[in-house]
Amino acid sequence: MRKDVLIIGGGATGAGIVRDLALRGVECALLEMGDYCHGASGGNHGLLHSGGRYAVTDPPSATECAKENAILRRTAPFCIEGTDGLFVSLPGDDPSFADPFLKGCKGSGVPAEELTAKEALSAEPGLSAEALRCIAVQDGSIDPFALVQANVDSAREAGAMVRNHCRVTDMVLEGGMVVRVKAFDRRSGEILTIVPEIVINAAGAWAPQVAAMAGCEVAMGLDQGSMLVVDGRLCGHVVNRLRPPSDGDITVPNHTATVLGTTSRPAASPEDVAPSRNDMELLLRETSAMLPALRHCRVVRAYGGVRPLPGRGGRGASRTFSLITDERAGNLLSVVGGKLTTYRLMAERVSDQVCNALGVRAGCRTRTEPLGPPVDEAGGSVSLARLRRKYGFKATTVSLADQRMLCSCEQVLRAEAQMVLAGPDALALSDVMRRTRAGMGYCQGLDCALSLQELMMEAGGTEPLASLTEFLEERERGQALASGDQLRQEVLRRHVLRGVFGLGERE
Amino acid sequence: MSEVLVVGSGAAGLFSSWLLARDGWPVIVVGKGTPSSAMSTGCLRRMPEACHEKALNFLADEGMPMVTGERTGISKLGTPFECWLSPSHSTWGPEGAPGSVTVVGFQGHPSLHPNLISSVLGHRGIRARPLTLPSTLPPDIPLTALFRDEGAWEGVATEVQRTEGGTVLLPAFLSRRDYWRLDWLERRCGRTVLEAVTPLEAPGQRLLDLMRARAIEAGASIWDGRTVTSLTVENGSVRTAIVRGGLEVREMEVGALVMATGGALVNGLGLNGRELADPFTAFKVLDDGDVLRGGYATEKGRLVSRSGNVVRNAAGAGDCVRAPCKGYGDGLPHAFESAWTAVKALEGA
Amino acid sequence: MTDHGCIKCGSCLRACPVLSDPNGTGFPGPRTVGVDVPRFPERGRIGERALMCTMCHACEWACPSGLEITGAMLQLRAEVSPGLQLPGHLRMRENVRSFGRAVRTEFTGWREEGNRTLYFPGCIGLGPLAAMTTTASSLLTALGIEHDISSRAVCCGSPLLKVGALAEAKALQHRNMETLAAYERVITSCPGCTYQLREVYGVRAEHMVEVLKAKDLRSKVRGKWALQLPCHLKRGLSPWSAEALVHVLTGAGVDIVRLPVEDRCCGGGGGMLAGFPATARSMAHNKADAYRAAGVEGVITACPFCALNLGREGLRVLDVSEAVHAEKMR
Repeated sequence: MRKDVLIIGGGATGAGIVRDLALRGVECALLEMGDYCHGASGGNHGLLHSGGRYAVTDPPSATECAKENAILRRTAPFCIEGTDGLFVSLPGDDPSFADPFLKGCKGSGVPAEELTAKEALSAEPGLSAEALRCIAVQDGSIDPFALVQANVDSAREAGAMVRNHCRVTDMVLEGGMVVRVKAFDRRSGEILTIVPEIVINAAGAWAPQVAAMAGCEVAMGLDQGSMLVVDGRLCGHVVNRLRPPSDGDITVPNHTATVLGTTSRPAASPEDVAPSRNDMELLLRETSAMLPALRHCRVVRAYGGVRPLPGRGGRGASRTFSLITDERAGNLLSVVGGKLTTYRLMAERVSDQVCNALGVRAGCRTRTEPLGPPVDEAGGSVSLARLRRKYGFKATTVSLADQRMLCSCEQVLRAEAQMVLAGPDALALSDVMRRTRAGMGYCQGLDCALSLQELMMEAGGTEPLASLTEFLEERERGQALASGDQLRQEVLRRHVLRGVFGLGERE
Repeated sequence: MSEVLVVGSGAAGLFSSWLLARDGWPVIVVGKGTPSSAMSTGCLRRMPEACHEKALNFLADEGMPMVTGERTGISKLGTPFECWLSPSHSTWGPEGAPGSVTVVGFQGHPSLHPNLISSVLGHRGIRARPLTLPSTLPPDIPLTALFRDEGAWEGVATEVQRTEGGTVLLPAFLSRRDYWRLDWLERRCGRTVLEAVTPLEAPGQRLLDLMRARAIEAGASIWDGRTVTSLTVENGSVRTAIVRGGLEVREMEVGALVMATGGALVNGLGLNGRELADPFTAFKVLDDGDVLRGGYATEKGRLVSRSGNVVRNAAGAGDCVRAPCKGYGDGLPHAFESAWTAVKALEGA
Repeated sequence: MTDHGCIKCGSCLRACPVLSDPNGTGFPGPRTVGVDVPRFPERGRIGERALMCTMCHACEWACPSGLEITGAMLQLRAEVSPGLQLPGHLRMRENVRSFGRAVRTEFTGWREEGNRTLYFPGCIGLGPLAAMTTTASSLLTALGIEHDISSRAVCCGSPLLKVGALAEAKALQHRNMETLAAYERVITSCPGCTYQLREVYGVRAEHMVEVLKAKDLRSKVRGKWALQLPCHLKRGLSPWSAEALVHVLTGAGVDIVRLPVEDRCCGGGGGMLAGFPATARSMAHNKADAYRAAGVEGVITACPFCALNLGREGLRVLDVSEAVHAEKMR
């Protein structure tokens, strides 16, 4: 099929671009090889940057963050927890960092206000009593899955074709232009062929691989970061360490959990995401200095993500993005770098450039067009109060006739899973999990896996053992470092799912 | 004489106490919280060595007959479940495999998933049809709520009879007392009736109820809702125990002790990070880096102090005891074997 | 907070007496209310069904992780209660505001004689079960325990805590402490009051069963009797105290029948009686059926809530103090 623009990669970048272009009337398609947010967009700590983190080292980046932060809060409030943030220093931290930090914030338009330790403790009771200097900023917690899905839904509504589980396999070139792109659709088992005017390579860490299909090169650094999901919201704000960027310097409240982050090491490949035991110990040690309650927390999951960084990568690499063209494939545009908070701006710039090339005059609408509804805690149960947070505008399509629960950890209704299963994006159980949060709680699917699979069977599923095994193994990937109560949970989970039900291989 | 204190009221503790009580020992079983055996499938995957006849004797139940041999059942996922001992309606013997199955479930209730199981059975070559009965029962409510009267059972029988022949697979929710309903349904519908095999539901609890009844019959006293919070060990023997129940704490003299507190899963063994520990800080625990297989070191059943000396009057049984061959599915057989060893060790002393 | 130890085994759900009652299916269950919902910022939305719990502790006893589920549910109640307007609870609070007790006072036999021991009957004992208080008082006297029954004693506050009225409970505590200051020993027939006085007030309070434990007693009843072991005695105070009830009665020669249901909740505690009367009634009704099926004369208990709730089902229900005489009659 013919499309003006084909976007490869369904992370925040790709989804943002397809939405922007679709809203401008461009005929476009997006193909994502896994589920949306397969790469870095699904492997981060969900921070909506205030910009504070870049105020000293990268002021233009800081300004961008501050502006986009405000735009996202206005247009996509449903997937954002407006927690605000704190930067706190502790004894032993470099005392000369705070003043340049404040100055940098002021200079780059990042709202920041110093608080006394007493005020900070009052605002954040779990903070260490040893906190020295405290600066309040407008960090927030954002759900990347809900954000990206909303972009996908909006793009579809404006006429775009968006598919997950479709992996681009090769590109055919003629006269130095990509004329055909082939993709394998896992859903149907068939090969899709797209004939594009322009191809945008938004494949993140896989961008070099995609570019190579067109005989092009993209220079990129790959950097792995580890994160821990801790059960319970142990902080009300995003809490950051007020010292030069380092490992273990941030905690982000997110739904029913707290995400601890992060680390940095070179990654051998986009799949090199696994956290190490050292990472886990470091993260707990560093973050519990800011929030002592973390010394006795329950780590539900350890995960990692690979950051694609333009150029040679590493912690000092610039986080702004670049657009790479290559004369070997004149209509292939690779987008590299960037971060979640500024995805919309990245998409706007890319879309401007693309529209220029296509001769499309329409302007960008994403600065003002709402991505989802404001959050309004309607309904007489925790489940109902959370529907908008997860589904944005689609919350009203969840049937409230039967309000029985599917997942107790995350208080997910069966009707939510049914709604997702009826949509175009759910192929695997983990697709349903990412959207409903069923299986993301501390039991990691022990309680709901079979019920979820039954719902999938009711919606026309056919290979339950393969489906459940895939889900089981996906959940187990985050449990290799389980200890304490989470280890007890994992023993029970394996005993039931593997030992009794015989999923995967019986040990 | 001073009592034998059995710490833990799961399979290992109750079997130990039954053996001891039948031999005339005064036994007090102290326990709190649901043990692993109550969360089990209620079946033994393999025959426990050396003590299997005693175990069969212990588990004999008029209301819910138990059968042994090479048995196979259908799990709650539809996968095959092979075991050595089970309630009569959970499994079939070598000749009894069903050709076709009607899977009965209740809409939106996790007790059984008819479509899932039918599909899995189909892939195994067993023709299966789902029969999903209407229900508004919330998932956390036990299925027994739907079966308060005769009419409910008649209703199920009627629905089943409307389906084509074959074995009827039901959710596993019946207590020992109500187990006869399965025979009733078989007669009523003229079909074989099976219960799906599953852990974490009624089957484990009713096995535990059976074991408790046998232990009490044999003369053991069971102290519910109480935990042993500390033990004194002097001159190579356990002397006293401090028992807590609610807000009250009591001290008692101990003639002999069976430690049957369970593994890390039920907080019988402590867990520091990934390392197992003795909550009483009195006995040696060997970890082997494996939370399933690690536990108290024993010498022919007897516990060993931290300094390595055998404790004369204390033995260990069940999940809390180290057993390198323990794996998933070994819990119950190991509980019986180790309890047998423990009791022999104490009686020999 | 339930300390993160939940492993989703479901044992608490299987143990909960409300969930296994036909009129209890509206209760979200101990796992949802005590473990899962407290983790959500939207936990305030859980609504009044979170209060459909008798606080019987069966869930705690079943929990292999040793979680304090009952306490966590109580904490959530304190958070959500201000927004709830259950009629029965509002009436109870109004009563407390007007005259210091949860229900209307019927008792008239006040004794303010300057004795060192106070008998603290509690709201039910001063209300609908006033006759029980008179009997209990006579028994104490017959045992040589001279005591006052003070008209200045107000509700212990436990029912107020169950509906999140923390400040009102505190105010009641202050009033009672003034009255209690004059006494060395406090005896009560209600396990709820015993717990409140002992653990919250810090006063040396004894339950009637503990007092009767060491005494020579004779049965006052004939025929076979079953037991209602009160939840708040067995699981709220001490399982040994519940066993003491058995010893007291068998020691007095009462012919006791032991039944498996004897320690299952009657449905009367935790604010259930006032807040969800249909569920309380249903739970009592099903227990009464079980007792009737056993063919006993009646049921002996040691808790006014149990006596009240079961008594409404047409069963003969006696408090332990009504089932025995002092051996040495005066």
